Amino acid sequence: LHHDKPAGPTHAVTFDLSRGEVHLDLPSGEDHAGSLVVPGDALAALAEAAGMTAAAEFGRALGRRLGARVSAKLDAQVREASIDAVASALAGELAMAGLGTLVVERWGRALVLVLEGGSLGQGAGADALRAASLEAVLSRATGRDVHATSLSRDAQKLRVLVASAATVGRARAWLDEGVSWGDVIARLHGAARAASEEASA
Amino acid sequence: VSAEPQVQKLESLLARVQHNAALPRPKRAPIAITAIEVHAPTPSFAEDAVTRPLPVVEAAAAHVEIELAPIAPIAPEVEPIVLTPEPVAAKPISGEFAVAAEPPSLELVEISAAEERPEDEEIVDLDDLAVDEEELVAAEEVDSRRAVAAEMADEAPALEVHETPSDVVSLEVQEDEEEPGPPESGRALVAAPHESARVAVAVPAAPEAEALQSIELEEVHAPSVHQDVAPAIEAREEAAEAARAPSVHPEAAPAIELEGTFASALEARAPSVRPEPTPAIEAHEEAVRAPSVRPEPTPVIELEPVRAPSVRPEPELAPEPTVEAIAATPAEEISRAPSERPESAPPTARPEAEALVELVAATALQAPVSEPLAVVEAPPPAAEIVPAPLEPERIVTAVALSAPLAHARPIEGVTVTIEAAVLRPEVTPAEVVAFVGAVRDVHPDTFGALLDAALEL
Repeated sequence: LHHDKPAGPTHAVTFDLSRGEVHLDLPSGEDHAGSLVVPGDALAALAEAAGMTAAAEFGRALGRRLGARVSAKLDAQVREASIDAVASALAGELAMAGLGTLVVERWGRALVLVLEGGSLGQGAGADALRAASLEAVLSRATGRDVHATSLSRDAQKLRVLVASAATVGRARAWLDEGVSWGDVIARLHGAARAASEEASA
Repeated sequence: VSAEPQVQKLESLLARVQHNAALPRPKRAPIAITAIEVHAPTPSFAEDAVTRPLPVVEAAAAHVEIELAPIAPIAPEVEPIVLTPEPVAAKPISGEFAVAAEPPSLELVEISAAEERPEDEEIVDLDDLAVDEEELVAAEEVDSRRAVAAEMADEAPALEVHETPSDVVSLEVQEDEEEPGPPESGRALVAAPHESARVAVAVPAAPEAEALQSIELEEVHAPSVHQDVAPAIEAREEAAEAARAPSVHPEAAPAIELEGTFASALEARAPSVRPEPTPAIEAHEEAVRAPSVRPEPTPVIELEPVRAPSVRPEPELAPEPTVEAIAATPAEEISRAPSERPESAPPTARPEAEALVELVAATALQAPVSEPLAVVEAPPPAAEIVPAPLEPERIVTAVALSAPLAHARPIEGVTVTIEAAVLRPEVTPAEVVAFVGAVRDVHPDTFGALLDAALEL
């Protein structure tokens, strides 16, 4: 596998001890205020206390930074890049941010991102932060209006569905009804098939 | 000359090699093999051998266990000795009886013709003696029979136990086939006391008087109800008479129908008198004869509005039965109901039809609310066998696209795997093929195509 700019930790983070700052290796104009090294459980506690909306907003802000780095690594050709290249770039940036390892899954036509491990603590707020980060990473890297929602959560893995706003809304409604995430994906495909049949008729 | 020292070196080296070869090798390996052989048959021992090599001592102990194993079958030789009670009929006659039945000893004396004997001395001829011996034998047999009868009579108190009104005891008697005496007689001894005891418990004199007093109180405090219940009160007096001799007046329909009310009230006062199986048997008997003795529906209809608002806690769980439905309840269904009730049900629980009658009477009498409420509880509905919902099977296709970081690998195409082993019943194979085909039709070469397909979903 050949990457134009393979993901790696070289010069990814710069610690300026004389000034007490931490800087990420971002494209020009992206890093203005520096970064922070924050304990993951403290950030999870903050996300829980702030609520889902605030945690999601924080995640989007974080994801936008990461998406800019991905875009920079792929020379702003994320859409034209191969799936493997984008997946590797995304996984590298998320891992360096401490959000865990990334696996890209495709269930039928649905795109599912799986985050496993990471330094961020557990909790609904933390998961909202993760999902929003993935959403913002893809939005920033590809320039598309991408939405994401948590599909399932177990001890290690968080599955996040990446889809349009309408699809994410339907999926959230089914998940709130107690439908399993596998059935949600199956229903999404059934609804899409019915819509296509109506359009053809 | 120069080669000689080398030859000597070689010879010395060879000698050392031979000496080392002659040295005995350590016996460690055979010991380990022995230990493994000992513990190999048992999986748990095999695991121990893998994780922790056993020392020689443990291996020897294992050998001892294997050698001692055949000794185990020796123990069952003691078990065949089974002590069974000796049948009473096979008991021998006691020794005292045998001694008493011995013929008197006779002294044989030769008597000459000239010899004089005292007049009071009895002389027995040998021929006559033989006859007497036969008579003695016959008498001995008669005595032995009398002795057996006496022993039977001595053991009769064991049968007297069955005269108690306990159903448990009666069941034991019927099951015990080794009891002496003919089985028919034993059953006869059980049946009659059981019936008499049941009647005596069901209709004691004092509680009946109390029940009638409660009826009078009802007449004073609830005149409107009394007006409707007046026929029922008269019927209840007849019920008391019928309860005294239920077999004499089986055709007294209202009395027998209301008997359950009295019986339940009496049972509530003295629940410990009657054993638990008895109410079930009584309910069964009443249920069997219920169709022939059911009362006229008219008074029940008049009393039903009184009953409805006060005794039905959950209408959806206990739907109000109509009179027609109660009258049409088959006897088999009623008789089956007690067996479906839980064992913890109160002894006054009745089938639905009888519970309604009791409920009407109890409401008319304004009995304590707690007891009728316990009676009103309808038998639990028949358990419906509802098939368990099928596990939500998923038709899923997973495409491994990439692994994170250094484990990323190129993918030459799309790998489709169906993870669900069992598909939903309503999903046809054609739909599965279409589903998988939809995945295969899309071959996103770029991440943009993949994202577009996901956003169009």
